[in-house]
Amino acid sequence: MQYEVGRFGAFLATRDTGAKVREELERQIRTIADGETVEVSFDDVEAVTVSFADELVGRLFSSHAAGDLPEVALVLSGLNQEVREAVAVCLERRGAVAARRFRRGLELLAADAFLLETFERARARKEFRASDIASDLGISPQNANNRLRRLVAAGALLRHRVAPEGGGKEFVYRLPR
Amino acid sequence: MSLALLHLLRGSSICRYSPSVQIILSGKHPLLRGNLRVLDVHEPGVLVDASQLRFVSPLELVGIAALALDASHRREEAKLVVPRDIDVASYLQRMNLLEHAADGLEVVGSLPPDDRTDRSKVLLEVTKIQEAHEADALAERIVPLARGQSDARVTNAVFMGLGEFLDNACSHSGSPVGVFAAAQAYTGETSGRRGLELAVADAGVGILSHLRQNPTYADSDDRKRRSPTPSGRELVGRPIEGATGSPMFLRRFGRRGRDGWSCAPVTVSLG
Repeated sequence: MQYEVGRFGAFLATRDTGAKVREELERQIRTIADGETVEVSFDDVEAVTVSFADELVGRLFSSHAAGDLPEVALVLSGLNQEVREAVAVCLERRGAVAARRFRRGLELLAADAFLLETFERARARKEFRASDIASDLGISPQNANNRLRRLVAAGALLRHRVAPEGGGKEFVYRLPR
Repeated sequence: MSLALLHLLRGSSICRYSPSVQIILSGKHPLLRGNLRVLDVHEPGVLVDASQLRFVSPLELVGIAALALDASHRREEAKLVVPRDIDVASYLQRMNLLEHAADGLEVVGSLPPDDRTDRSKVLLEVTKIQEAHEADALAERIVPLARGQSDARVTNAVFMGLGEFLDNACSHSGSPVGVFAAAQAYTGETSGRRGLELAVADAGVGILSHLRQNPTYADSDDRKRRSPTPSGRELVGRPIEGATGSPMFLRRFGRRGRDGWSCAPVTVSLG
């Protein structure tokens, strides 16, 4: 699903407008199934205030991380430098992380070094399990699980459950489309 | 009371807004320079004596508009003595000050004919907004002014700043008469400095009073307000999660202003 923020204007200033955009977007997200990718496009948006960005992006990603929305991938795209800076500020203030699509693929905004290195491995592998990441990075499986859980909560990765041979439960992770 | 006027009155013999006051604006940019005289008078109401004004900026315009309508809202008389300088009087008229203040302001003195051309690339006339959703459209009107003077990056930053100020004023001021904004782009032909001046004023509770609604800052005075922090969050009366907009704008331009980050007028020098 692609959502065009630019429909609301090229210059977006207020929290009021940010809330309206977010509410419409969240209504649409709630109609789609887990595992889908939602691309929030800022094409045609020239500038936003931090207040607008926080009300739209900050609260959207906070809601997703809290489990208030379906488990979808959330990817931002079309951000020029000013919009990216405003979005980064509000993500940092909320301790949130988001994935951004650009020419070379996907990158994380407002992520710490641990998540960045984990996401780099995810990009290289495309589809993988926690044990793969643990092996790549030389970390414990528990640590890998924790990092991947954060990336799923941020909408930067998707996962589906599989039944491993030895029983129990396991997830296979993949990048958003 | 508009933020700028309230701050300047604080330094005068009148420490808070008085219903019987004469404010004398004279010279050039009196509010920006802190150059105004405030007299306690016996006649009820507010008299703004602009007869000796020689140059007026957006700050004076929005300040007068907010003051006049605030007085009207309080059912007090408000009078404006127009500038004797015909160019200055014409500018007041051109910037729609008198149109907005009509409901609350008695104009004393004669006005020149209102003969205007389209100057939307250099002027943002005094505009009043009441609701936050009107702020988006108003903030966008600053774009042609900024674009005429600078590049896209500066233009976008100017929009972000004005947008934050307007959103804050609409959301937090509690102004019963709305929020006023005006702007002027300077080409530098006269002064040698290109620039853009934005001004926002309201007749709300004021940043200090709003700040004091937060128990953490219940005893705040202006000295604390003068110390901006990297996070706007600490300086908002009701904690607004994620509030960082205004300080980010001022940090980008490397300017704090005389009174700290909370000044309503912002001047951007474009070199």
